[in-house]
Amino acid sequence: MNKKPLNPGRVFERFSLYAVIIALTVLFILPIIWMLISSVKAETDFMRWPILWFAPVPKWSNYVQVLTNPKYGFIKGMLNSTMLALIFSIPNVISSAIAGYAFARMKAPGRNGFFIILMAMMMIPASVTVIPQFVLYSRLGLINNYLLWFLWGLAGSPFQILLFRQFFASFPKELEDAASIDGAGPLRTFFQIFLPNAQPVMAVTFLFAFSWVWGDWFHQAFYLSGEKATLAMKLATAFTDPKGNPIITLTLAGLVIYALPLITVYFLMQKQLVQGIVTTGLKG
Amino acid sequence: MSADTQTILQTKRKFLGLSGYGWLRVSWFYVFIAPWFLGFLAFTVIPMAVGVLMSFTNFTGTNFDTYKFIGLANYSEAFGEFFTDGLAWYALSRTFLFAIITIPINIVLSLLIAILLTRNIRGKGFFRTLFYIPSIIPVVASVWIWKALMDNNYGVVNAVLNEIVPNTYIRWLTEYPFHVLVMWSVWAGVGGAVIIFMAGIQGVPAELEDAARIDGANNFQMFRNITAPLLTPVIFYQFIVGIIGSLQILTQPLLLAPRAVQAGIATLPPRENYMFMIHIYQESFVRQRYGYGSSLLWILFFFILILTIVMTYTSKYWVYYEVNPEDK
Repeated sequence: MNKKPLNPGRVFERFSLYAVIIALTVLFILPIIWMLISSVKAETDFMRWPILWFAPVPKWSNYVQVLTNPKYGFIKGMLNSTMLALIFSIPNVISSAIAGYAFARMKAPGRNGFFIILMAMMMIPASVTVIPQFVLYSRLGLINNYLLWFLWGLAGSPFQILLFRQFFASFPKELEDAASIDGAGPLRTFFQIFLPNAQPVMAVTFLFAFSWVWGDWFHQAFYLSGEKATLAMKLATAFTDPKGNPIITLTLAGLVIYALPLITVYFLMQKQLVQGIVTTGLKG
Repeated sequence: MSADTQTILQTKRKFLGLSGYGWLRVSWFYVFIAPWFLGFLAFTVIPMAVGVLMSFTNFTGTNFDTYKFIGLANYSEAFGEFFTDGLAWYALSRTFLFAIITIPINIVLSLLIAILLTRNIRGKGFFRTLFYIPSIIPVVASVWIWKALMDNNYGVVNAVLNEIVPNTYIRWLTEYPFHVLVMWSVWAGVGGAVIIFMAGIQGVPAELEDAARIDGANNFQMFRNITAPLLTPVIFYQFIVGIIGSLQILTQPLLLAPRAVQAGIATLPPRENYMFMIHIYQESFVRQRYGYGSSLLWILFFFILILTIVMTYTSKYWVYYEVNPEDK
């Protein structure tokens, strides 16, 4: 882009452009900042009227209390959430990768038909099956059972399959030729040649899968209870003091710990994730 | 696309003659897609079939041995509600209102932000990330953020309003829960669309822009005649996703209900936020009318389907499909 000389009109234009962008950004980020600064307040400071913007002394002990108070079972919930997310994500990534590979690199009669089914599947509103699913799962003993997430994961998901398909389609043809000259069958070709070269997509799909379970509340609240309760379920109701009054600041501290891993990983993997969102969004 | 079809045609031809293909080699394709396809049968096709059957019964979730097929009774009850202003109709109209308000705001706002961010500015990646953060935050975390913002006693929004108009005391969560729901949805939904729109704008071929500049087009003309037409497929996609998503809204109104969520999915949100999916859950799982609930689900499915078809049909009048010879 060629540089234009800066005349007063252009300076004003640049200035107002930045002003609008920054104002909008602040509007979007302020709620999150508010969560952060409130999480280190005493409950009385948080409730104060007129409002007290910043705590006089940050109350870091909120975080300690959330993590250590056995009544809240925070660590247990965190372990459950991690476990559940892994139980879903690992089979989800492998199943999606293998199906995406098949759609990208293998020829077979009916492939086009199956691909149309895959695309149509994305348009089916998920909620249309909730009642029969619930009845079937209760009959099969899958209620309050992490196995359900494993089975969901095993089925892969259309978006993830598309991401893998896109990625594997870009590999050079020689790769398969070399493999078949070496006498590798389809399984070996996939697991020893294609999959090890698909780390970037595996990372992105894993992250999508993991954060779907980590951030999901509804399916967990619907199908799990008691000992199996996850962090999302525990945080949906406020943490309380011994008398049963909610302590919002403590809850917010818990939520910061809960949301932080996702935000951190997003910042670290920004480029790949944006690519993933664009691929599934535009070409999906 | 055409090349794709071509290879598939070739495949078919080859397959019919079985030249170069052994059954063994071809069958690996089916093995590889089996986990997905069996999952699709188990979690989508079979439940859908069961759901259709269930919607014609008086199934209560427990009467496995005694339930009866009652024909179209569930459907006529539901449509009866629609015509007599019943609860089902009320819930459906609230849901449509939510969709009609949220989808355009989301699209316009995200498009606007994307346009601003793709101007020649520093740190566009950084700003893009900031807009996306509300979308990454888990729903349970963002509902508490919004409850804290909108609370009538200690909320930030009332505090700020108080600076402007003293003694403002708005009970957002109980008197204007629908407004909060809309604001929250926009806040959490814009980021993803911004990313997709930005990619669309940056994907506009430079030759086109240069040619327009040489012809003396100004910024608005450039947008109107070059960027906007090339973005119509993205806008179309956002509309479809928006319709499918917002008509099924359920989690957000449940979590936003003031009486916490001790009751889990049985929580009743304020009347303004009584969405169609919430009505379905109330009827099915609280009042144990699985058969009737199933018929409501199919009615919702039907509405979504019709809207998607109508949108797709109208798309040929306003969506511009670029034919790229390099596109596979």
